[in-house]
Amino acid sequence: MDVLSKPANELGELILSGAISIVDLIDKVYERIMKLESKVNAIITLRSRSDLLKEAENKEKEIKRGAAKGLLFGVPVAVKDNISTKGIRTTCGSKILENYVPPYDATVVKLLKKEGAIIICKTNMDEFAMGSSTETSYFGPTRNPWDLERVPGGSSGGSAAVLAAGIVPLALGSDTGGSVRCPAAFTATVGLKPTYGLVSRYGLIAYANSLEQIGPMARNVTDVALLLNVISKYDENDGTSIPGSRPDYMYSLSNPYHIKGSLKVGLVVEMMGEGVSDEVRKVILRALDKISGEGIEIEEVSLSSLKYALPAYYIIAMSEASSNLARYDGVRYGFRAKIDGDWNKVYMETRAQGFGLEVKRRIIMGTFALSAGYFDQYYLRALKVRTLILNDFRRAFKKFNVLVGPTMPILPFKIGEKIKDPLAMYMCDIETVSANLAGIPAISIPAGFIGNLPVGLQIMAPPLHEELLLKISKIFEDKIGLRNLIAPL
Amino acid sequence: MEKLKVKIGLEVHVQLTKLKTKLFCSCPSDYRGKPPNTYVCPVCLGLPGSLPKVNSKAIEYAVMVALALNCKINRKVMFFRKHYFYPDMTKNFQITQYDRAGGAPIAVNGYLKLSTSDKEKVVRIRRINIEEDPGKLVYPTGSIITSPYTLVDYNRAGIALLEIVTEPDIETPAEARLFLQKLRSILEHLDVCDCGLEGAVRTDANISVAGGGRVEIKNIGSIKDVEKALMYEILRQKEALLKGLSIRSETRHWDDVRKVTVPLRVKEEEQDYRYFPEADIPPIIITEEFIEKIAKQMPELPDERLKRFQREYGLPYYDSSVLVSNKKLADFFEETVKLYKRNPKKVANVIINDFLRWIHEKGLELDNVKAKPKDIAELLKLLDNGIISIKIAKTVLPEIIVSGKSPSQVVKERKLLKISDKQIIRQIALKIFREHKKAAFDALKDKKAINYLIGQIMKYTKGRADPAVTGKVVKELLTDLKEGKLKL
Amino acid sequence: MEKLLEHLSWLARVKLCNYERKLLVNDIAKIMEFFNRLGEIDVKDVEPTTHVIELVSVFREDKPGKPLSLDKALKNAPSKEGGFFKAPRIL
Ligand SMILES: [Mg+2]
Ligand SMILES: [Zn+2]
Repeated sequence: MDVLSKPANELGELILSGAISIVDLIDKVYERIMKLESKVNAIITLRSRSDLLKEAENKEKEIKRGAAKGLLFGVPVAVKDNISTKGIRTTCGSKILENYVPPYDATVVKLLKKEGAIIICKTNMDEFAMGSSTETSYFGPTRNPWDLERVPGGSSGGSAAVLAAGIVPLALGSDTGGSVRCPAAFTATVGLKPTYGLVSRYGLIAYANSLEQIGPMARNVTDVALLLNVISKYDENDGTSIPGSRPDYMYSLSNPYHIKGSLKVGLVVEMMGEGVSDEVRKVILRALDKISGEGIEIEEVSLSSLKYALPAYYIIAMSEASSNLARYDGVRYGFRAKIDGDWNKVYMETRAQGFGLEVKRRIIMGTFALSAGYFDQYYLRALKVRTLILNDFRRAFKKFNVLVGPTMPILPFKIGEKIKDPLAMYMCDIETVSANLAGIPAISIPAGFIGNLPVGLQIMAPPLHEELLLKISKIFEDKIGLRNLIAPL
Repeated sequence: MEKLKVKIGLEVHVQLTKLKTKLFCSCPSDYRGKPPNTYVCPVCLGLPGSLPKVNSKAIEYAVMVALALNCKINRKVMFFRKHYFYPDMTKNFQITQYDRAGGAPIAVNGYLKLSTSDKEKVVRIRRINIEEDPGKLVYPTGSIITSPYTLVDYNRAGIALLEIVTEPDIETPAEARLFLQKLRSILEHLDVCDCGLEGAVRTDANISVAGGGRVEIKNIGSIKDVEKALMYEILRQKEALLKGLSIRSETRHWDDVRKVTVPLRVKEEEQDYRYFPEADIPPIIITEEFIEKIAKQMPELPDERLKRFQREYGLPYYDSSVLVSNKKLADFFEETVKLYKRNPKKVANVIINDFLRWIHEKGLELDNVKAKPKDIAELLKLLDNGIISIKIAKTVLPEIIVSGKSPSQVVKERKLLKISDKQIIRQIALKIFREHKKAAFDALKDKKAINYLIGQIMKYTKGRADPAVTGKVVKELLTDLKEGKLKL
Repeated sequence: MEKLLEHLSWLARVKLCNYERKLLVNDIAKIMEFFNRLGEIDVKDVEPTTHVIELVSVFREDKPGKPLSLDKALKNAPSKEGGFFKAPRIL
């Protein structure tokens, strides 16, 4: 039995029944990391083997005592390195936080621990989640397990790569403008960005706080639902956490076809237009072909405001980033430049040395968009465009249960291909940012391949309709027939 | 030089010291006197990933203050980020309130009425913000200029502040003082701020003289200093105008050691705070019911209390206004009256004329005065019962203020009991007559000499001789002397 | 554009080296043009969205919790002294 390729929802049961030894499992995870990490570079911080084995042994003792419980008992999980882990360094892919060890756990990490998950490692990411390729990491780019010359997408590229490389079955990412869905699409895995406020952001190091959510990533839809079950909970530490209980997403998947009436799927024409490569378009249309029929109607729909989603997103994201990253001054934590000088001089030099170019670019542009004389023209206007986009989605969801389109407009590109041209890189997010602007849930599932390069299908649902979204994703997954894929390495 | 038009606006930062926790986290708020950085958590340290969570009581307190200052309370309140970079700021932005992008501060458009000697003065309140306090910087050499580095204590970071901003309606430094005194009394009556605590109330004062540039004096720690700083600034600006210089807009710092204002920034640059909505805090909806509930629970405010003092205790306006200008003083008065019901006016007199004077003289605050209302009541009773004289009472008062001993204990220890025994006083008087023979004979025709003799007796008895009895005895002795019955 | 970049670099407190300055001057122009696309759309009478999910603040009770230990509070500080964080001089 190859334990590393097992879906998490099976693994948990096998562990609790004693069919799989946790120590053995963790050992195999560790071995695989040792074998592949030098090729993939998906991990920033790996917990020590002895720590991991000790935790595995303790968990096995709990099983023997009959005290073991939890949805993810003994299941290895990877966590993106912008999610705070008490006692484990959390770098955000940046030099400025190279040695930062949080004194507290993010709420999602607490929830993982409560359900018995074993956190294996902190995964590589674009610096401060600013990027779509995981190339801007201070710790070097992560490589796509499907083609080591290419990027795995970003910014949660490390999380996607450890899944595609068959290292762990579950990972957490974060999605500000597509950072969960983009790498899911580029690595033939599944990644969900939940409704804004469904999952607590407490402990998630902010890049653009009005847009981002922590999202579950896995190799199949059911595992994504399982991980969402664990992390979606009202959190009183997060003022934007939506109060109230959450449905059991796993339970809803037990009978996904139980959706009343026929299913209306809207294919967003703005997402299939200019900028989308012919290859991607072809794969998406082929996948939709497989899906349609049997009570699933697919129709085109236009959301005209989406044309403006990308600039509106970048204005908002960069503005918020310029504010969120102001705290990195080298006084309370993080890197400080070793120069003599007054506060302003040391502050400026610390950031000159501590931040990478893309982070600087975004801080500067965000400062610009908020600055005196430009606020109304840029930031305020972007917030208004956000309203128009929100309204367009509301209108579309009156007619359609879900909306679909490609997750990424292009195939995974070569490392270094776009990094020198920021606008070309920003264009990669054209399909994903509107879900963040509208706060709605969106998922990427494998749609097909061009050669060995994956293409993702994006499905979007109204706010708080994760249950429906996962059910439909499960149906599509069945029909497309791509799941539990591990790159041949 | 003719009188120049002065316009003063105040920006008062009031710590809500009666809250148990900080504004956005549950760190305890009683940071004073605690070792540095022991009252901090991920939120108030601005650790990456931490998020603010609004203290419900802070909103309640803000609404109370807004009602007391006759403000319009906004129904949808939003927080904003204000960016400025300083090591006492844990996020390098301050969460405060602003009125852009559909946002609004908690309250706007209020007023506060002051009664000055000749008129009633209305100072308009522009707005009230809820915001967070920064941490505290410590300069190892004691000076910002010479310190080679800065030490930072974040215990204060995140303490809830109200920023109360007036329109430039104030015309003199004395009015500014009156405004602040009244504001302080209101805050204390509302029980939201213990204004006597160090740093609990800090004021920025904006002043322009004769239409010159607006000068902002930052961070003045006491009411007295606000008055002094404004007086200094008016003088400075007048002198400059006389020399034909123009006053430029600038920010100045109040040096409370040298009692002067000094320019704060060397390089004067335009501030660009880049306010924008705080997405981490959803809008706060303040309902009509909430405001009504608070309004019903509002305690008695100084203006109402003043009227009640006039009505209930029959005090004149002046006495009442002095007493309610300070909540603790008004409380002290009422406590004393409870124990000495027969004459509230007498209590007011003692408190206003003697008690306050001594507190000042000893350089004390009402808080560290040891005498309690029961002591003042007891003193008055001792006086009424003829056990001590007025003069003795006046020597006992300062002692009980400092020592905390009861008046009767002081009287006993210092043998200050009144001498009203006629025989004893007669003997003393005789001794004085014999020692001041000339005065005694002069006294037969000169009233001044009589007073001199009485004075000598009082001096000899250290004021303990009963004045009435003494007067009588001296009169009798003089009669005897005149009739030859007394030989000196 | 150089002057604007200089100003923004100060306003954001991010020092730039010559190489970065050369790149960013170019980028700013392009990104501004990209931002300016929003000028095409009519937003008259449109309310801004400041909070995408319509929530109202849920308050925290005024009940004290446990602060971090001094040790933990200072653990990540690059420089400290006697329980204080040590920052550069102000002037
Ligand atoms: Mg302020
Ligand atoms: Zn705190």
